[in-house]
Amino acid sequence: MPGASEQIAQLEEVSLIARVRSGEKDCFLDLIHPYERSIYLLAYSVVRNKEDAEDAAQETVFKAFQHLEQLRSETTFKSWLLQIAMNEARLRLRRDRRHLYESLDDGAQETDDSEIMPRQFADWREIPSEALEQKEVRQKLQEALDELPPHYRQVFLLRDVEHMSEKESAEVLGITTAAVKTRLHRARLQLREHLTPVFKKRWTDRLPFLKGEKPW
Amino acid sequence: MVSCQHVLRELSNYIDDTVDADLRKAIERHLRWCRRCSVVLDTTRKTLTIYSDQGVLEIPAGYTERLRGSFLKKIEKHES
Repeated sequence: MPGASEQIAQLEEVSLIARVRSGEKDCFLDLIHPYERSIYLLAYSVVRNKEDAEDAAQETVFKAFQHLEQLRSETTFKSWLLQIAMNEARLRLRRDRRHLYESLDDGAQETDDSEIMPRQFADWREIPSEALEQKEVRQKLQEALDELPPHYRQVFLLRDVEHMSEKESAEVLGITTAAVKTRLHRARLQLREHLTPVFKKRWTDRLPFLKGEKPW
Repeated sequence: MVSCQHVLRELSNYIDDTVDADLRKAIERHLRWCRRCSVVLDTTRKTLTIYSDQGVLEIPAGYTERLRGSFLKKIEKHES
């Protein structure tokens, strides 16, 4: 169940959609405002370069405006918008010859049923919130996400960064909710593996007089 | 008794609270004595907490302005 503030936001969104449909074009920028970041992050997760991600985002916004009439009540505006972003980003990836040999998504590796078993068992140090504001740490977080296979990265982004439901994430990616579940599980475990070397406790952390060098 | 493999397979469902009550109890019993699985659970949760902070993934400076500018330009062009 959505909270009261989410319900208010949904009502505002419905009203903005109606206003844009009735010709108040300027309202469109207010309508997409909460999703500007989401559009970019999803597009980037597909194309993995800033220029193409921005280009896909710009085209997404314009196409969403042009085709707003096609938005159906059973789909949320956010998942409809992100479906367009996904299509635009995939289109750019196909056009880009650098990725000629890279799978587009496609879950080609999905046929591999082998489970992802953790290999890193080191505990993590406490991560102070100031640490996450540091450029170097943020860069490592982005790199860890970039290292995931594309179909894991996109599910993780929608479910655990954007906090979309399984159903919405499945709609955006054009896959089943069962595939969302499987990919999310693998994405989480792999990402944890990638981050463990960054955040793990070192033996020197246990000795108050010998502090290890921290990444922040 | 559940094995480490079973616990790790259900880890995501356990975090999302979509396992049934019996399995939840069995996993919790396992976690009480298994340090490795506890660490994996704890660090996976930390991973999710880190990324759930929206600001942690950066967007390029000036992105929003360019996005809005491009939209207004395209609309203008479309209408003329």
